[in-house]
Order: sequence, then C-alpha cells, then structure tokens
Amino acid sequence: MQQVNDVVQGVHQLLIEQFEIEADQLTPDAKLRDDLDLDSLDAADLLIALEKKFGVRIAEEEARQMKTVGEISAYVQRAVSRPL
Amino acid sequence: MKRVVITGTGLVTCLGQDVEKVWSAVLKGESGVRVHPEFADVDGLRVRIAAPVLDFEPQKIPRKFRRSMSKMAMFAASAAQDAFDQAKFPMETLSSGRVGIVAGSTTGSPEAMREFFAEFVQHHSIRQVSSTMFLRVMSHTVPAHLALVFGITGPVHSPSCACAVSNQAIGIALDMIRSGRVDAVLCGGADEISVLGIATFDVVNAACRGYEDDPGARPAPFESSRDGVVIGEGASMLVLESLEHAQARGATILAEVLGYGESCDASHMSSPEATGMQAAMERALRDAQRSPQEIDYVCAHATGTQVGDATEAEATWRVFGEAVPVSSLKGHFGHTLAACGGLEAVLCVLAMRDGWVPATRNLRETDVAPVQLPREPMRRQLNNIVSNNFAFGGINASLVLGRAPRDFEGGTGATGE
Repeated sequence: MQQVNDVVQGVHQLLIEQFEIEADQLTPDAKLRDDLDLDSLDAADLLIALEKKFGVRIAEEEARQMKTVGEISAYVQRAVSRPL
Repeated sequence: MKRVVITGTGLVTCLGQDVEKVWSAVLKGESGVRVHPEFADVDGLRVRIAAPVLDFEPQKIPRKFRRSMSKMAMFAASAAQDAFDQAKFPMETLSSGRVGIVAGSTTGSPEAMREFFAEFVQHHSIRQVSSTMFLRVMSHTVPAHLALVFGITGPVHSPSCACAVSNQAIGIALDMIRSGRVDAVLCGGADEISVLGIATFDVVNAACRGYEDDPGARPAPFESSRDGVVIGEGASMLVLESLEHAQARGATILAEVLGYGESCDASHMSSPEATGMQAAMERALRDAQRSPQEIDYVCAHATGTQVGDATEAEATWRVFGEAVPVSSLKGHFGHTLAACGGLEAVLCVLAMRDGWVPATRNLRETDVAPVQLPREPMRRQLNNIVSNNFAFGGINASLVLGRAPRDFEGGTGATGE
C-alpha cells in the first residue's frame, strides 16, 4: 500500500510536470478550475495521467466529484488502498 | 481591385529562425542537412539524412496553447509572431474580423497520428489517448492554433496540397484581400519531419538514400547526379495587407504580391507534366500583368528528383527561355513540404531588397533543359520574381512577387539597387 505522503507527492509531481503548475499553488484546497486554471481538456488528460501513474481506474462519475488538489490525492489514496 | 503587399515575414528553418540570418546563410551556401539517426531504426526505410529545425524552444508558447499544438503548429506560431513583429501589426485589430488566416500543412501532425495508432494498434485501446490528440491530428491544426494563439477572428482556411500549400496560401490570401473581404491575412505553411513524410518519397524511389558521410552534399537540384528529395521541416509565415491598409497605418512595405496562377496536370499522381507547370506560370504572369521578359528571377521548386527537376526545367524554359536566372533553395533546406513556398517567398523578398539571385547548392553539372542556372549568388536588380511550387497530384502553384516600388516604399523598407 502506498503511503499517504507518496500519493500526495506523486499527484503534486504530476501537476507540476505535466500541467506546469507552480509548486506553491498546490495546497489541498486549491481548486482545479478556479485556482489552477485547468479546463475540461486538462481534466480529461489529468484522469489519464493519474490512471497511468497510479495504476488505478477512475470512473467519470467519480472524477466529476474531484474539485481540489486534496480531493484528488484522497481519491487516489483510497483507490490504491483497495484490495485487488 | 486592391493591390496586396507583404509587410511581415517569419521563418523557422534548419538554418535558423531569424529571417536575416537565414538569408545570410543562403548567400553563404550553407546547408541544414544532417544525419537523422531515427530513420535507421525503420525497417525498409533507406533514407538516412534530413534537415531538422534545431534549438526551437516550445516553452516560449504558453502551455494553454501549447498543450494541443504539434511541432508544426508551434513552428508556425513562432514564425507568425516574428512576421507580426516585423510588420509592427496593430495586434488589437486581429479580433476585428477583418484579418484572416490561410495556412496549412501536408497532413495533421504525423507524430500525433503515430502516438494514436501506437496505442490503438498495440493495445486495441484508447485509454491513453490524450484529449488533445485530434487537435494535433486534424488537417487544419496549424491555422486553428494560429487563430487561437493570436486571437484572430476572421476567416480561417487551410490548404492541404502538400508541397504547394504555402504558395496556395499566399494565392488565396491575395484573392481575399483583393476582393476587399479582409484587410490583412496571415499566410504560410508548416510541416514536421516524419517517417510518413519521407517514406512517401522513398517508396516511389524519389528520396535521397545514404550520404551519412556527407549529408550536406544532398539534395542536389538540377544536378545531373541528383538522386532524390531530402526531407526538411519548419514554418514560413507572411503578413499580407491591402496596399491602402498598409499605407494608412504607415507600415513598411517589403514587396508586392502581383499575381498567382495554378493548374492541375490531371494526368498522373506522382509524375509531373511540363504542360501543367507551364500553365501555372503563364496564368500567374497574366494575373500579374507581367510578360516573361519582365521577370528577373525564377525561384524554382526543384527538389532534387530526376523527373521532377527535368520536367520543371523544361516548363520554365518554355516560358522564360535562357535569359532568366533560375535557382532552387532545396539544397540549403531540404524539402520543407508545406513550408517551402512561404520560405521561398520570404527569401525572394530579401533577394529583391538586396539585389541578389541565390545559387542552387550542390549544383555542378546539369542535364536539364537549358535554363540559366547560376552556380554562385549573382548580383542583379530584381523587380519581378516568379516562385513555383508543385505537389503530388499534379498540383501546380506559381506566384509573381514584385519589389516594393519607391512610390509606396516605407521608411526602412526595400533598399536594393
């Protein structure tokens, strides 16, 4: 099982490297759309990137619930902790 | 009918991205052709050299635009920025609806297509397909991104006739401005090196093979030993405006677009006919109201193929005889496909300004029709130039460009004697 810190760090690293977000913008409450300026195209690519990086499947319904950086990390943490 | 002038130019090429430096490299006879190691990995591909763009910095384009841009679209945006800068174009008018875009590429990004099919064919899946994939694959990816990057809200067109794209773009832009539908057009073309691009020529035995030890020796347009195309890449962009629009804003006028002519051989998909090429040149001359005797230089398409160069020389000789110097710039840049017409038009503007006919690189002996083929750059006052591009499918596109007359020259414009 991946540690919480590993997941948070991994999510942050992905947002920094692939979406060129500044590290200091990555607070748990940072809103993807309003604070990080990510739109629908970015959201689609973010899902693909998360699935690839963490080896998880994210349903569209669930993806729509994720509005902040913290919610992404929490979702991924739950997903990677699920028993196979 | 409105007169149409060129006020801005921009290039991304294997010989650099600064128009003046590129021109200087051409006059010095430099080549951007080098060994392209990636080609050696492709089973059956016999090509080993290409003319890639080096030192391009994608990061200068904001991610919001860049995320859906292929290399060719980024090349185009960079060249367009330089063209607007040179024109000192009033950028606030780009959203007026009175400025258009005509620009294209041979296909959408071949690299994006490769990414898609690698995922689809290997895994029969689209799970890893990016949301921006189609935006790079679509055939109008270059002009659509130019519109997005610069906020251009007028008409956007995307010619896609391969090697004739940017001559067609300039020709279509000419019509749009002449008719008064728009005041200005950003026009040109872009392409990126791909296996698809070079394989197209290799499979029809029209690509240059080998030369790993001396890549700069090829291509060799019009040379007796010519043995095929060397693929290149890059972008060429020009700002065209109506004369009155340029004058009203005090723009420096670099040259005039006098006429455009096009034709189709309609006889063979890959083997050209002199009659069709001749028709395009003659139609361009008629459109420009210039006689062959008034043309001071012909900038040839000649890519270094046996049949293409010989056919073009024959057509050019039929129209101009032996009196007019003719040269090809493919020896310096390789064949930049959709970018080549605009690249050659930009260099023709500088040739007129400086009074130099550029030479054909790698040309020693020739066996083509007896057109005048200077081996070294040649001093000559250039008032009118014909620039040709021809594409698979028998597509022929000819431009007539004119030196900016002194009666509407800007303060720092054409200075050639």
